[in-house]
Amino acid sequence: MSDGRRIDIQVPVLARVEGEGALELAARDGHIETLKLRIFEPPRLFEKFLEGRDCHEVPDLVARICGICPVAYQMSAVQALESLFGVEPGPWVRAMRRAMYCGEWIESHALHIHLLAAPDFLDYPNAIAMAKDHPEVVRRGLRLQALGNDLIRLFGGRSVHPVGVCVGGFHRAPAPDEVAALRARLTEALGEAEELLAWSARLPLPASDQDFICVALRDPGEYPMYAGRIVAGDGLDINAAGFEREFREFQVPHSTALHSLYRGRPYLVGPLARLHLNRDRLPPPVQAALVATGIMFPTRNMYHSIVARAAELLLAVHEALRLLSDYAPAPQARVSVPVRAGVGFGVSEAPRGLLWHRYEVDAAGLVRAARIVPPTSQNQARIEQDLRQSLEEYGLAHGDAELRLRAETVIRNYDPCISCATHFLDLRVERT
Amino acid sequence: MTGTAVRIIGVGSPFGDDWLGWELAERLRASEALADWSDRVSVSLHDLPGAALLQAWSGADLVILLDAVRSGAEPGTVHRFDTAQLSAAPRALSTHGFGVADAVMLAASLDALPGALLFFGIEADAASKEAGLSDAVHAALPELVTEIESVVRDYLAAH
Repeated sequence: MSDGRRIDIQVPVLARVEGEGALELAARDGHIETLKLRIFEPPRLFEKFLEGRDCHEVPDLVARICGICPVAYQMSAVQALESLFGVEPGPWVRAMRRAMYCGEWIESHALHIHLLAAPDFLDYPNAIAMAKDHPEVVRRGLRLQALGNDLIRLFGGRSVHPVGVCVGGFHRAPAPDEVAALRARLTEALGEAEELLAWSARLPLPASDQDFICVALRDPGEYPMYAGRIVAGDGLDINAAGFEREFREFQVPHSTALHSLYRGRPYLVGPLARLHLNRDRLPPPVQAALVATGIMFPTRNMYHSIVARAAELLLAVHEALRLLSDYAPAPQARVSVPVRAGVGFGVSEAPRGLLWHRYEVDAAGLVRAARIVPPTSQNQARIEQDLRQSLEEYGLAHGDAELRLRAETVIRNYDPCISCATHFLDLRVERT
Repeated sequence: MTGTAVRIIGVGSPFGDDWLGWELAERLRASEALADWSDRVSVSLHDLPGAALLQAWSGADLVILLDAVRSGAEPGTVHRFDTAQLSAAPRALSTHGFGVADAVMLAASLDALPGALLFFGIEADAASKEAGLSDAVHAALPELVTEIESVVRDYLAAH
């Protein structure tokens, strides 16, 4: 049946980046001949766009790179610039930035779990169709997403005018009554986030058995998010400045996007990688809820990413509550920043994984060069590896529609930046 | 706030003609013609709101969505859609395509649509980058602002 059958999958990505292409797959005789994943990467355009800009403009500009994770871009950027200028904004700023970051994890994870991933596992073409049968699931996702959004907004967030994060701290500290109101909502959401974790583990997830190396941040005491050292499953432990020595980006012929390898190998960043390397950093209630799911971590099933994501959402609710208890506005929400020339590095854990920035600034504080390595580009080689294995295991004799859906499901499981394109595979089959 | 509520939502970004959703919303916020209704009309600006649009319009009776459009029409062309047209629109309808059309369809699935929802957009000039609004979009703004003002006033007078 499969002999002589040629499969060609061509993938246009988002409506707004038409023609960029994402996945080309050619298979013959039950084996994949070529598999090329392309993902459009807005950060690449921004690297050039940032050149010549004043360093104080950077937090607001990089917040425009991604509609889902603006805070992550801001956090990696301000840490890079502050380290360059020798500025330490202090424990209040550090705690509030982590609290704000929790908002982004809640928002992004809620969106991905409910609106993008769940339809794959509950057998719906998209969230709009799923909402008719499971309105309560979609509404929970929207409630949690709104909570995350409001937590980000508490600190100014991304706005038309920059009012949130700045180099040196925050533009303003939230008022105590605003914080108290949000704390009440976070407390209310604890139960829902716990239920979500249990629910995610009950989803009919496909089986999968894969070997992959994980890379994430690690902090002496906390589950990583705002800061930490870069660690890997094989014992790597470096600071942000060491990233370029161990991780190489290279141009692949089939793509304008860069692929990233760790010591020559594909690697995983994101919730599952973080959880594998930092399970001991989860607060006890989250650990207990994770154990109660019955799923053993570390796992070799990539589809358990959705469970890791749900565990992290619960963690973010707990963490935000902890960080905002006994809240008092700092007398000064920012420290002064003496600009100087040099190179600075910053890294944080975006909802999708490690986000690394490097800035070169001149004596006037203008950006000479910027380099941004987003999580999606780091995962691309791993996604290709997963696709090869998953599609061959699944069976290339499946029909085009089934293959397309399975390929989409595999890709979406990594929550790549193209995830808002809920239908992104345009399958074309040529039989020879 | 008492009585019927109107929510004006500008979707945009700081780049080129993508700005126009914000510009329209800001002009309507400052509108003299709507000044008497200020307790019933609220304005918010968003970029790439996606499903968060449902949150942005909750509680409103009439929602006015404003965004840049890229459909291949002449830059500056005004587009108007109601809920039914939005739901049937091609994905590339708005420059923030996922957000607007999908959010409307999702809301319809959840019975979470506002009483009335109107979309007003202007065709963006694809060549506009970061230098602000193109001349074609700039020229289309005043008439569209006037049109939306009268839509809002007529709605509030009738409800």
